[in-house]
Amino acid sequence: MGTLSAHMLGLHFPNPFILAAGPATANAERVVEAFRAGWGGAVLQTVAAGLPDGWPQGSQVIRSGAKRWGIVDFNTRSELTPRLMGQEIDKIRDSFPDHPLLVSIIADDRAEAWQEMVRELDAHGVDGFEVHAGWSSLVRGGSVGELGQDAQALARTSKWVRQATARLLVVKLSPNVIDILPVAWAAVEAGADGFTATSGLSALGGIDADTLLPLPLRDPAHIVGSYRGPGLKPVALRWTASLAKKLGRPVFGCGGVAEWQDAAEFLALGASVVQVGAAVEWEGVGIIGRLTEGLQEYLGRKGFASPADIVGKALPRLVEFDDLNLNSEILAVIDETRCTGCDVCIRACSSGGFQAIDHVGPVARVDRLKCDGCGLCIYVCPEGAIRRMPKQVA
Amino acid sequence: MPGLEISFLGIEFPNPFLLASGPPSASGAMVVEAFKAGWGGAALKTISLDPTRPPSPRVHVIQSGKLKWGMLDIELFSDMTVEQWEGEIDRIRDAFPDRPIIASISGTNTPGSWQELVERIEPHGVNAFEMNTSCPNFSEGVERGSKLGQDPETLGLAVSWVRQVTKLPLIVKLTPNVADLRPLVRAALEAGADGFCATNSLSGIGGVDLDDFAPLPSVDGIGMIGGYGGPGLRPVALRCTADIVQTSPAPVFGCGGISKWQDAVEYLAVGASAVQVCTAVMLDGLRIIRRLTRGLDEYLQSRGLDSVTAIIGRGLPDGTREGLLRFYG
Repeated sequence: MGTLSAHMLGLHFPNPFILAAGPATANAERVVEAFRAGWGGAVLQTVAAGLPDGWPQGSQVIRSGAKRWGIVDFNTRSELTPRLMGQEIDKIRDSFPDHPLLVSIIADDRAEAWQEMVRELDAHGVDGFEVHAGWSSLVRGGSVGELGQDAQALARTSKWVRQATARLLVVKLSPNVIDILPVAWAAVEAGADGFTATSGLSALGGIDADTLLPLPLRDPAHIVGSYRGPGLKPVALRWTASLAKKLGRPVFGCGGVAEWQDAAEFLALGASVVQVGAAVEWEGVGIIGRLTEGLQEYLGRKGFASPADIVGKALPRLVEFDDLNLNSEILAVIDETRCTGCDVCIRACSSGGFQAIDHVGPVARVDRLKCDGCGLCIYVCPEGAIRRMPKQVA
Repeated sequence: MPGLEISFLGIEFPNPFLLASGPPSASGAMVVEAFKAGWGGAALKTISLDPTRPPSPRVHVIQSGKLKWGMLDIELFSDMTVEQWEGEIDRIRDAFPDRPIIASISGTNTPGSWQELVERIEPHGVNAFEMNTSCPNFSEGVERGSKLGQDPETLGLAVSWVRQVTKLPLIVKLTPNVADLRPLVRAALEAGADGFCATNSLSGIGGVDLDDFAPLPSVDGIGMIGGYGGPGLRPVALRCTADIVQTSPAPVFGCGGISKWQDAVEYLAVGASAVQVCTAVMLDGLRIIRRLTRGLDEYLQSRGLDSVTAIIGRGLPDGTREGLLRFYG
């Protein structure tokens, strides 16, 4: 049987699942409980220095009926001062001296604010710092601009932190950019050791149908929040892959990990370890059981010895449009023994495909001359009765 | 339904639900079917001078359990030529002389590539042009799609080329893959744009096949970063809509993850005048227009409102709403 342990930035993780900075890492009690449950490490909730009081608070779950796929909030921050967070770190270390432990930090645009905070925390047993570059820029008094959207500001900040500590320096990058690489390079040159991809998307939580005011605060002056959870995953996967492919620095994947498969996707696209936030807030720290069991079973079944064996495996298969083989075509094929004649595929193909599926007796059948191989019907069939077949074979 | 009519840049829509540019508006016959079903208008699948064969497969549906909350596509523009589209537009016009048709067009970084499209399409009776400066799927180094819509100067130039050759309403479909939309909005307006569509899809990776490690959708075992749309995009596109209308009172089509009438109310409340729908039509079919219009109509009635314009901008600060309403008399 293989191992689940992972190595990144010189740290040894018992498994590649750690808690992301947030409400689940607000204090020692929660983190100790999580480590007991089996989590591989944690990033402590963001400690802030020099920020204005009255930061907007509130969060909106993005859902359809009972199913949730996102949270929009305003980047939760710790209630604790650096000194008090230091005491929490000591308490965690009493019980768990070796679990990797980072602390998320944010401050206004002054060297003293960052360095005072870092020196205070550095005196405790933390392995490193995660600069929260996705923090929105009320910090800097502007209306737009996260630290992670401004290469110069991020370089400046990273340098200040680097001067104040010899410990690890990780930057949690913003997804709200045209290209993440220039920002990431600036941080590397200023001394960053690795990255977390990513913080939340700049977003609006919705509208209250009764008052027509923006959620969650119902205040037209506070619209823009940070959108995380499953809805962030496609974007976070994209930036993880870009960083892994072009930068060659270790990456924590972060965005919508709720099942082991999500983690495996981040690893395959180049992350070494994943951070989990929303899923723990929704379901509790107990989900670590299904995450580790699922990943362990998958790695064993596929003959991989450890998570490191799948890190970056998908990157050689990630190409650009011009490199796709446009001569490769598929056709949809319906298994008539499983088709219930429900019409769902007929509607989808008729409205969003090629009008290639029709009733033949009690079942649906694909007209092979009309099918353009878009793949849509395969996903909509509630019975899983449609599969793809290479056109040449068909 | 009387209360659902909306005027957008002088174009009269019977209701505020349009087909977005995409697979559901890929042919004249499909648009005719949509109009028969009750859709208020349509933005045609993007027309270009050099159509490309699409990959197969080209969509991947992103879901948690049974909930489909995202779609990733890896295609570019329509694979039909402009000649073919001229015929398709005639066919729609024969069946529906008055229903608004917006021609989505996309050129390159040369004036002629945009202007030829406008000059050939306009005589066939479209009501507006929508510039696609936001398709995220072109290869690095190819100056097309979103590469043209991420830099204010480049975008302004493209808009000015189209503006030179048409007096029809000119809409710019923006990409959400930027740090700040506002300089792009200003540049487009200065160059002559009349309105916006917010937004096209986010760049993303839909997932990975954990057996062979191909990004999804997998074309012969390989994949790419594609365009992520559907409900998962909605919080971002709503924010973009609010960003645009707080920069300028020019009218905006909301676009991104609309599958219920409540979603449309959200876009209207942050200042959109109408909405465009794609993914939900692909997943559930054209027939969803009935529940969209009926739901919105009942909502207006239950609140004692006689028009959708009463909702527009209601979630924004008062000054912004007043600016917007100047467009609706």
